[in-house]
Amino acid sequence: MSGSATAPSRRRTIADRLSGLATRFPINKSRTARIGLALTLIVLFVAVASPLIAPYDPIAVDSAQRLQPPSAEHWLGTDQQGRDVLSRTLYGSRISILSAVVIVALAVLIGVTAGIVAGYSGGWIDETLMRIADVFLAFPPLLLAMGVAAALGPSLTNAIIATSLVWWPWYARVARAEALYIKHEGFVDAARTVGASHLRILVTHVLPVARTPIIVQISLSLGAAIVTLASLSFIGLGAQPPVPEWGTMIADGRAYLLNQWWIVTAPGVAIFLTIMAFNLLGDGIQEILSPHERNS
Amino acid sequence: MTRLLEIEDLTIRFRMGGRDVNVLNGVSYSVGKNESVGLVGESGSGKSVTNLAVMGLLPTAILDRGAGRFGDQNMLSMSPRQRQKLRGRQIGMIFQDPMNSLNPVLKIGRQIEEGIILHFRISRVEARRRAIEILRQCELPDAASLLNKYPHELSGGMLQRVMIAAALALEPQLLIADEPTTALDVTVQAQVLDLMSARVRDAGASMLLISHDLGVVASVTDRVNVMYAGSIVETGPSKEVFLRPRHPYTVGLVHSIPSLSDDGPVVPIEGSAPDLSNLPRGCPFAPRCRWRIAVCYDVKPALAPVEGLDGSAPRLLACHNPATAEEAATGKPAAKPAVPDEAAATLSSHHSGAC
Repeated sequence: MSGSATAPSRRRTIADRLSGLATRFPINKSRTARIGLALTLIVLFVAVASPLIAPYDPIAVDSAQRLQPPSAEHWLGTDQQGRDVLSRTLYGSRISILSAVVIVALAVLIGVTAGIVAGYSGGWIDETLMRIADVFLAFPPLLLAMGVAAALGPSLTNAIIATSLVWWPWYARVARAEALYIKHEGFVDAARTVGASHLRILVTHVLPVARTPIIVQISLSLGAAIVTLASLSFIGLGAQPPVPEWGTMIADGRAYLLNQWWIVTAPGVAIFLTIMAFNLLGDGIQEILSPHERNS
Repeated sequence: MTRLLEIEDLTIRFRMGGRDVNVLNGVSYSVGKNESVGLVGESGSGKSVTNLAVMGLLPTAILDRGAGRFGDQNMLSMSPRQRQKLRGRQIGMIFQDPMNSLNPVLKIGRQIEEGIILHFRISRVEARRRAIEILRQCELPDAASLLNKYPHELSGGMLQRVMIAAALALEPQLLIADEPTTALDVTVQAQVLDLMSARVRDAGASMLLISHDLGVVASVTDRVNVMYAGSIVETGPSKEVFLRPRHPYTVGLVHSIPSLSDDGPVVPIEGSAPDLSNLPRGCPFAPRCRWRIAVCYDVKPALAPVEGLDGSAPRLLACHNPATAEEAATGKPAAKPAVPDEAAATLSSHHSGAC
């Protein structure tokens, strides 16, 4: 046995878990993942710390300072109502990231549940669930989200619900494919012979094995969720003014695009960087977890 | 001897590609209390299907007829709930491939404790204590740290011991082991087998051992059933059957195992197992049998008691022309088959390269 016996066991377990995590996700093996992780951490830091680092109140109107170009006072200038663009952009990260997490969490909840139940049960349950998923997949994602958001009424909450409804079939497909092969594994039969119920097998045996591709799918769709939400906000179906949401900010600033370029540029660049962070992280995780690319 | 498990006239048909596949054709056998019983046959003889049917892991639709009793319970009329309670708690099972029988992403401890908590409704701490105890009994060193390992960190032999421990932890009355040592290194096969039968005996349980290796089965069981093409062809005391086989198929099985003590050549069983969707009218073994007589192609022999050779214990045999003691010892019939091989041409052209 290695390690000292006197070491507090609690600390040991945490260290064990961290090293376990590092073994399972060897982040240093992929440069993509490293860059993605660094950018993601920066974005997350900004989101958490925006009240501390933002120089101004993001919704405070100051009509004397309307449409100011970038200066020492307002690094990224001000918008048509004299609000500080930098502060609004920083605060915007909170809404985007929080919404993206909620969207993906909802989509995972619906999609993974439907998917593993479909794949594990087979037969008419599988057919029914997957044909419902196909109905959702038949529409272009943004169009479907627009339709749902418009039907529910324009608000951030409804935009989140609409976007989740667009994403869940993808999780259902991934989870179903995993469940389809896991259910034929020996340990599922073994669990049956021990007297485990189907529900128990789904939760304790199928789900943990299926988590890897689901994690990859999550990291890949976070960025897309942000774009979809920003798009909905841009056309007025998402966050409503004066909420500092990136899509809304771009929509507000597009009238001034030619002369006051900074109003749309800041949130645009923010969207770009955030999505790139998530996508690089997602690609990196996929690279790490995929055995085909592990050696290259 | 009181009977624990009794299977009667079990007949199972699969429908595959529009054809009926006769997987089991009226199989009857029993396992008594404190008894070890073997089920031997080559791949496709139906030995694994038999036990999946016992565990209720096959879709019931394919069951043609038959009866199964466990203790005083009728296994075929059970509700899924009753059957779920029976599994593990009363009938434990060990599979062929230990690497595949444990979930690769879960720690060993969690997987052993799962069954214990499920059936005994005790706390996780208590379950862990029991798991450690049973692992020790199964001669696994450092049981406590083993519980925190993942299956891939253990060797095949250790994993199979873990599986045995997990099954025995539920204190079943019957342990079904389906080719428990086939996936293991030869060096640990005997260890694992001895351990398993010793622990089963200690626990006062019964064992049903399924294997293609008659030698392995004979060494640890009291009685053996030899299966061919979905039927039992010979059944009797294990040592007896192994040392003095009567059915030509059993003779073939015994002589197809290379032996160090015996300089005689290894005699393979010619041909291959019959197509289960197109079984012959007579004895299914007739086309490969070197003892066959005319009646073999017409009438399927029933399993009937015959006197043992040299006045030994009687056994059940399904054969029109069983081997004599001398023939059993040499593995060859004394005379050439009386009936020419109807399918000789097809057999030799298809299987000339088979070993």
